Amino acid sequence: MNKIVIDKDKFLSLDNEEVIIQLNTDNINLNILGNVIINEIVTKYKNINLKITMNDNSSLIYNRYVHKVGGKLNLEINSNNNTKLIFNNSFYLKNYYKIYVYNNILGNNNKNTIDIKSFNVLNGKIKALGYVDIFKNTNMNNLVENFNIITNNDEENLIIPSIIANSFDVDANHFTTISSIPKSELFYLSLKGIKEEESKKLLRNSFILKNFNNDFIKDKIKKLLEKE
Amino acid sequence: MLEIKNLSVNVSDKCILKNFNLTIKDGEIHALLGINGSGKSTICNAILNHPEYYKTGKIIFDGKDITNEHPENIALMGIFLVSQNPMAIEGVNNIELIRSALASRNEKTNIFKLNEQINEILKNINLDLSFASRDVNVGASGGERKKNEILHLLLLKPKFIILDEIDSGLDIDSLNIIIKSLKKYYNEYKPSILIITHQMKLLSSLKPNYVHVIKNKKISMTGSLDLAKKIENEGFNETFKVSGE
Repeated sequence: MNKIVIDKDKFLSLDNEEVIIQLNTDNINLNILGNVIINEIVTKYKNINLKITMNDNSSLIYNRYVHKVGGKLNLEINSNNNTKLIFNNSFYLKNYYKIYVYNNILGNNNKNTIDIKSFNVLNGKIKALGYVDIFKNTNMNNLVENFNIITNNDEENLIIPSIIANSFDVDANHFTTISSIPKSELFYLSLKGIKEEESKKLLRNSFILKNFNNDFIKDKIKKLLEKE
Repeated sequence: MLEIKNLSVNVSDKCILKNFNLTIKDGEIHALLGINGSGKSTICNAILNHPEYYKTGKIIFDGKDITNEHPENIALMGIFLVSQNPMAIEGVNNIELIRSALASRNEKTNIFKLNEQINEILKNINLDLSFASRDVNVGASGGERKKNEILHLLLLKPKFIILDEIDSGLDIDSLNIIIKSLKKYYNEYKPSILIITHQMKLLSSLKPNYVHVIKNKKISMTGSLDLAKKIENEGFNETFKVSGE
């Protein structure tokens, strides 16, 4: 798998490839052609403006994991025609993170799924904006935003959904859950004699990892979480 | 030995059990019968100190008061609950769970040996070998979940087993497999067993030393396997009428 390190603001075209990206810059434009998989692991504080253009008939699975650090992601997605985007972003947060997702549906037959999962400890908290704009005269578009937060502190988390549909032929959904670790699952694991701290780790890892189907990124995340 | 003394249990301000007493000696098998909602599952969860139950009275296990002990410590002392509806946990696979459970018992696991053991048990209980690496009970049927609990039980080797309606929702072949595994385990390790059931098949096979019936929030009748047979034939109401309870 290619690793692309981006040090300067730039425009990057990806076509039929799976890559690991490391963003060392604030502004990046990704132009997606063909079938693309991007894996990104963030371990340093960053403010990123990321613009993704989904060209006609393209698909993108973007797996992103933020480990402990705060920061900000401004994500703008522009979907043209017959595209499929899955943006999976898991967080293990000890600091404040802002994620603003602007989803512009410009054409027809696009399917976008945004899945944000954050497990917050210490000072971890999240502010998330899910903004969807479905343009006029577009058809057969399907969007799902799914924001799940498990919080282990008293910090305030803020999720702001905003769906503007200028088309009658669209299926757009937003789901948010904010909760603590499920007590029923903790009790079940305790019945096996697993210590509470260990049970919490198992449930934390499962929550963070279930966003991903990709073994490469899962293994990397597991290694990072093992140290916690 | 497990001793339950004058136990009362409230769940969400509702009294489920009152002045409940039961003693189970090492190696004994006891069965607990009762109509739906009589508190059978409550006593199982109360023994494991379910955090949402309010209790008064005492539960003593091997001479130690476990009434308010943490559930994981009770499990580590050797009590294993096969719950009526084993839950599914997405993202935690069976091997991870088993390794964590063994690590809590300070058992060093050789992953290759453990895999062999797991595969052997899975074959014996007629579960697909992929179960080991699958998320705990995710996508599993009721019967598969019960068998998965048996997998955990056989690996964790408890000395006190609570079977909360392990036979509910099981086809006859699966029930026979589970009974065979439990009998083999009993013959080898002689654990104490508390069985909650509505069916004679399990009782006829495991042959409990005592059969108890819960009524009015406590054990109201105790007998042998014949009592269970009588209830199977005549029902709870008729059995209580004849005995004058």
